[in-house]
Amino acid sequence: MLLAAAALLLLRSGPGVVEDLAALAPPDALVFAEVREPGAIYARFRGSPLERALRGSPAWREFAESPKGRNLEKTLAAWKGISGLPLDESLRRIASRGLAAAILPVPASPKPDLLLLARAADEDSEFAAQTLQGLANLVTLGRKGEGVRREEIGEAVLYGIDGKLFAGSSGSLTIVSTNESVLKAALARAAGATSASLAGAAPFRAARESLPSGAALFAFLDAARAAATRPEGKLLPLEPSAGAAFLFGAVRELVNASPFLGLAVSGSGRSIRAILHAPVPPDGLAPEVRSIFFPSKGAPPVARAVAPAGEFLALRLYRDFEAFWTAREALGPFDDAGLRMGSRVLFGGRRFEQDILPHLGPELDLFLCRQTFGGLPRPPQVRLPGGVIVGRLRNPDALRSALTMAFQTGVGLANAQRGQEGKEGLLLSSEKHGEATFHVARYVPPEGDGPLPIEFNATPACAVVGDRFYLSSSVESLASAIDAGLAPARPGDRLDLDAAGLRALLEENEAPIVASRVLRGKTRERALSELRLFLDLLARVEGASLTFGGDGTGATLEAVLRFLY
Amino acid sequence: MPTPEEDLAPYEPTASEPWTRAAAAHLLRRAGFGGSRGEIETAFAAGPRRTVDLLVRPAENPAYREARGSVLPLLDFADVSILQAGWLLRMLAGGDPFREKLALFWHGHFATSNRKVADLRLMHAQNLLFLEKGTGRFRDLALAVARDPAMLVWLDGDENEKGRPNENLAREWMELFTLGIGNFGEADVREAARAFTGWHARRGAFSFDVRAHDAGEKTVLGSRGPLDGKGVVDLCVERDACFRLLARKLFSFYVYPDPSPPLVEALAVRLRTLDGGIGPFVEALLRSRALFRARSRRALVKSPVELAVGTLRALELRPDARALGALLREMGQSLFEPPDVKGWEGGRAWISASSLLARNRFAAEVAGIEEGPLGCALDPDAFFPLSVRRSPEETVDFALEALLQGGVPPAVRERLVVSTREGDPVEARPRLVHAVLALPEHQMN
Repeated sequence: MLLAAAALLLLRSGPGVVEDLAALAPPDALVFAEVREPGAIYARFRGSPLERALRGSPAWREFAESPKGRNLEKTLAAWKGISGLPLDESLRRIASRGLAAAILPVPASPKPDLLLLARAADEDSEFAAQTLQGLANLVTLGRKGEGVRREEIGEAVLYGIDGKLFAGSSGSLTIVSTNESVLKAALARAAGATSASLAGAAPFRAARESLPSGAALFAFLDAARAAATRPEGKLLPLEPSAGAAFLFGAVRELVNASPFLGLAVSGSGRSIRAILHAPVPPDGLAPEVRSIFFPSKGAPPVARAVAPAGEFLALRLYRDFEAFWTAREALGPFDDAGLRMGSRVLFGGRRFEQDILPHLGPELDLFLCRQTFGGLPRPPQVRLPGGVIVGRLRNPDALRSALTMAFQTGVGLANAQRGQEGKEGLLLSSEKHGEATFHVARYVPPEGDGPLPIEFNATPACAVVGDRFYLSSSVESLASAIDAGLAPARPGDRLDLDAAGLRALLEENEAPIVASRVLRGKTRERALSELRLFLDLLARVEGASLTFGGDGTGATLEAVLRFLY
Repeated sequence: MPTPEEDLAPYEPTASEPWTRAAAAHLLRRAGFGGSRGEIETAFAAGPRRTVDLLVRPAENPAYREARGSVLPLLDFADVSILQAGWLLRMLAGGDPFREKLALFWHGHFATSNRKVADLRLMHAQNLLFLEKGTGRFRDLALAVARDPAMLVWLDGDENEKGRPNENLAREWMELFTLGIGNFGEADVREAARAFTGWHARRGAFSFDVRAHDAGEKTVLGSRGPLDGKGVVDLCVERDACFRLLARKLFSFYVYPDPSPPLVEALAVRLRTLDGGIGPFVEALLRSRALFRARSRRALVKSPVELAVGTLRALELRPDARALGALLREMGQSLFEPPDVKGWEGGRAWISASSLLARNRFAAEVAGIEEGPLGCALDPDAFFPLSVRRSPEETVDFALEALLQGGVPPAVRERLVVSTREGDPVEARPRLVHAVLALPEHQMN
C-alpha cells in the first residue's frame, strides 16, 4: 500500500514545464523543502564508503533478515517486475531534476495537508507515465476496498487511493497530495491558470535571497504562522529553565522572534555546510536578552583561550553575567537563595551579587579533552573525558584569592562527603608552572595493582593567569591551556568538534560502552559491531563546527561537517 | 493429609501424579525462572530426576558467561540500575537458574540495600557471594555474610567498637538471619554486639581492627568465653531454631507457604542431617513429592522478578535490562534496594493496585499491545505456528499451553476464544497473549 502510494509519484502528462517547484505550492504553505538535484546526490551516495558502511551495519543486516525485510525484498522485486528497474533507480529518474515537499495548514484541523512535487528529465517522461500506469493497475488489483480511482482532467490524469491520497502531473512534473483540491490547484499553477504561489510570497522570496543560491537543499518555514498554530503561540515553547536559557537562550529567542526561517545545505569539496537564517538581527531582540548574548557596539575585540592539547570539543560562549542575572526571572526558575548561600560558603562569606558578579567577564571557553593521568601508576579502567574551563575576569586581583578559596572549599566539601562514605579524600597542594601558581587536589592511589576507581579521572586544578581563571580536570591540561594562551576571535558562540579526539576517547572506553549497550538489550557481538561501525564512520570525518552569529540583516547558525576524503 | 515423611519422599510419577509438561514447567519455575517452550519440552522428555540433575549441575552456557561479565566495566558508576540489569541479564540467560534463584532468595534473606551502601562494587561482590556460596553450607555462607563489606556498611559494622558497641548487626543477625524472635534475649544481642566489635569494612574489603575489638569474656546463648564474630556465627548456626527458620523459609519459597509445624520439624532435621548444606536441601525439595502435589501448584504469588524474567524467557525476548529493572521497581521489587533489612514481604503483598497496573503494563508491552521502554515485544508470526492459526480455539489452546501449561478454567478459555474470534486475527493474537499474561493464573507460581 505504502509502496503503491509512493509509486503514484510516477505520474506524467502534458507538455508544460515549470522550472521552480515553489511556483506550484500555495502561497500559504507553512513549510517548503526542496532538493535541487536528488539524482546527482543519490549517484554520489551509491557505491560510496558511507553506503557500504550502512549496508554492512548490524542493524541493516538484522532488518534484511527479518520478516519485514524479506517482505520489502519481495515488494522491491515486484516493483522491478513492473517498471523494469529497481525502485531507487525509478525514483531517481522520476525526480532527477528536483524534489520538493510542502506542508499546508488545514483550517480547524491539527492534521496538515502534504504536497509532494517531483520533476523528471524530459527523456524520462514516458518512463514515468508507463510505470505509473502499471502501478495504478497493480494497486487496483491488490486492494479489497475502494482501490484506485482514475480521472482525466484535460491532458492530466489524476489518481486517488481510498480518497486519501491523490496524484496528478503536468509535463515532467509529478504531484502528490493528501488533498484533492490542493493537487488540482497545483496542476492549475503548472498549467499557468493561476499565478499566486509560494514562490511569489514575500517571506519566501526573502528567505531565498538571504541564503546562498544553488544550495543542494533549501527549506523554508513560515515561523510566525507555524507558531500561531501552537497552543503556546511560540515555535520553541521550551520549558522555562535558567540553565537552558544560559546555553541556548539567544537561539531560542531569535527563532521565536523570527517571522520566517530559511535553511540551506550545500556541499563543496570535502565538507557539508548548513546555514539557518533568521531575519532578526540581534538589535531586534529585547534589550535585556540581547545584552546577555551579544557584545555591545564598540566593545573591544574579543580574545579567547586557545584549546589545550588533546582537545576534541570546544565551546566558546559570550555571556554577560550581570545582564543574565538581571533578566534571570524572565528566563526561567532560578534558585537565588541557593546561589547566594553557595557563594557565601565557597567564596569565604562574599556576596554573589556585590562581590563576585561584577568581576566576571563575558568570555567563557569550555574544552573537553582526553584526560591525562600524570602522577598515577596507571589509568583508571573507565576513562572519562577531561575538561578545562577558562573564564575572563574583569578585575583578576579582586577575585584571585576568592577563586582559590572557592576551589579549596569545594575540595573540602567533597572530602567531607567522601569521608562520610568511608572513602579517601583529595589532598590539596600548590605547584609552580612558570610564573603561575597551580592549586591542585589529588587522590592518593590505593595500594596494590588493581584498577583505579573512576574518581581518578579527576585531579582538579585551578589557576588565575592574566585576566583568566582556569579550572581543569588535570594538571597537564591546565598547563597546556595556559601555555596555549589567548588569540583574537570573532564574537559569537561557537562549537568545534575534532573527530579524531572523540574517536580516540571512544576507543579507549570500548569495554564500558559495549557493556552499557549489552545491558540495554544488545548482544555483545551486536554492540561491538555497532560501536565499530560508528568509529569507522567517525574515522572518515575530520571535524564539525557550529557557529552562531548576527549582523544587521539577521542571525545565522552555521554548521559545517568536514570529511577527510 | 500426607505425613512429613511422605511429603519429603522423592517424587516418582504415578497415575494420580503424572509427569506432564505442566509438571515440567512447574519444576522449572520453582527451581529457577521458568523456561521457553523448548526448555519445557526438554525437561518433559528428560523426566523429573534428570531435569533436577541438569538444574543443579548445568552445562556450560556461553550466553550466561557473557552475562556474568557484563557489568564489570561499569561498576565505577553510581547507578544501581547497572547492577539490576546485570543480574537480570544473568537470570534471562538461563545458564544457572538454580543458583540464581537461590541468590535471589539470599538477597531477600540477608536484605542489603544500595540506598545506604552506595557502592556498586560492594553490592556486586555480595551478589556474587550469594551466587557462589549460596548453595554451600549455611555456616560458611553466614560467616562470609557477616564479614561482607556491604553488610557491614548496611548494618553499621564500622561503628561497632569496643566500649561503644553498635547492636544493629548483632540484633538482625539473631532476629532475622539465623534464630528468629523468641529464640534469644536482649542480653544475647548486647554480648553478640561486643563480639562483632572491630569487624569493619575498609576500602571495599573486610578488616579486623584489633584495637576496636572487645576481647573480653561474653555470654551468648548460654556459652561463655572471649567470643568474636565467628564464635557468635558458629553458635547461632548450630541452634535448632536456626535450622527451623531456614527450613521453613526455604520451603515456603520453593514449595508452598506456611508448612505445618511437624513438617517444619522434619525439614529442620533434614537440613541438619545435610550439615546445613543449602544446595542439597533445596535439591531435595525439588525432588520431593510435596513439590508436585496439587497444594503446591500455583500456590505462590510470583515476585516481580519471577513474573518478568519468567515471561521474557517463555517468549524468548531480550529486553533493555535497565528499563526492566525500573519496571520491577514499579512492580514493588527494586533489586539491590529491598525496602528494609527484613527484605520483601512477598506473598500477597506483591499484589497492590499500583503493582497490578505495572504488571499489566509489562504484559501489554511484551505482547506488543503498547509501546514501552523494554524495547522488545512478541513477534506473533514467530510465536504462533501456522498450524494453530486455523481456528480461535487452536490459537487460544496454544497460547495457554505455551504460557501457562493449562490450569485455566473452561469459562476463562471460552472468553478468550470469543475475544480472539473478534476483529482482525492479526491484531487478535497479541491481544490474546496480553490477556493470558494478565490472567490471575499467570501471576501465580
